[in-house]
Amino acid sequence: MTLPIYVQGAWFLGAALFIFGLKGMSSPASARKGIIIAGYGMLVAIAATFLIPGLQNLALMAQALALGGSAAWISGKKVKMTDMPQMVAIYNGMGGGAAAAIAAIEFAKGDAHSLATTVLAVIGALIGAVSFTGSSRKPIACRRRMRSMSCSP
Amino acid sequence: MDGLLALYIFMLAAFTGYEIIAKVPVILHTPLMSGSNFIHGVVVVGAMLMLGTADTVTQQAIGFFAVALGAANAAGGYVVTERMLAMFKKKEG
Repeated sequence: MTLPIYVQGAWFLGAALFIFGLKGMSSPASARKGIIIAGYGMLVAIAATFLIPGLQNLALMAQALALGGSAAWISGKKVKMTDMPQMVAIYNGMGGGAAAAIAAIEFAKGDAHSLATTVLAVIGALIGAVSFTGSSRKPIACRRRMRSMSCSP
Repeated sequence: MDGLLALYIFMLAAFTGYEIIAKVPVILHTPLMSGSNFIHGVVVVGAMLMLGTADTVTQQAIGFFAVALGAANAAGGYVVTERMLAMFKKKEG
């Protein structure tokens, strides 16, 4: 699949914004600005993906984005400061779950042709699934430990 | 994409991440971890590509699941990191 230049350019810009954002987050004075820059990078990357010609299921895509995005946005706003580490672990696990699901679709499509891509897809699915299931258990173990010592995911 | 080219990108990205994170003050470790988690939310783009090329209902269902999870990773990671850093700023004055 050859992507149009504006999509590739926007993705490139998104990646650059991520790096600038991370750099900003690594110093106390610019930390808040950093996450906002990275946020713009994410918006640019997602918006550009919608512009790829020939993509199907655009409505489904928008629904899934709205559903997952709003649910996490609201829970992220509500969660208590002391429960932040568990929350980060859960979001992290969700990303892992997404990666596992991507690998699953690749298999379902039969896109994994060579041995190398098959191995990569299996490793991707495995890591994703471990991260997803692991972090769904983490909050429980975490809460138990919180009583005596600090908890970091 | 050429496999070796992908490996080069992988290596350079690893060095970039290491260099940016290496000299960070200890108080910023937690928000930065959360921020890196937010950046992992970019997996949503891959999920969108998969859903966009899904043919069967099964693939669509898994793709929907993947996009929703990825979006949750991105949105949740952003909100949580932003809240942590906002609190941090107040404390520091």
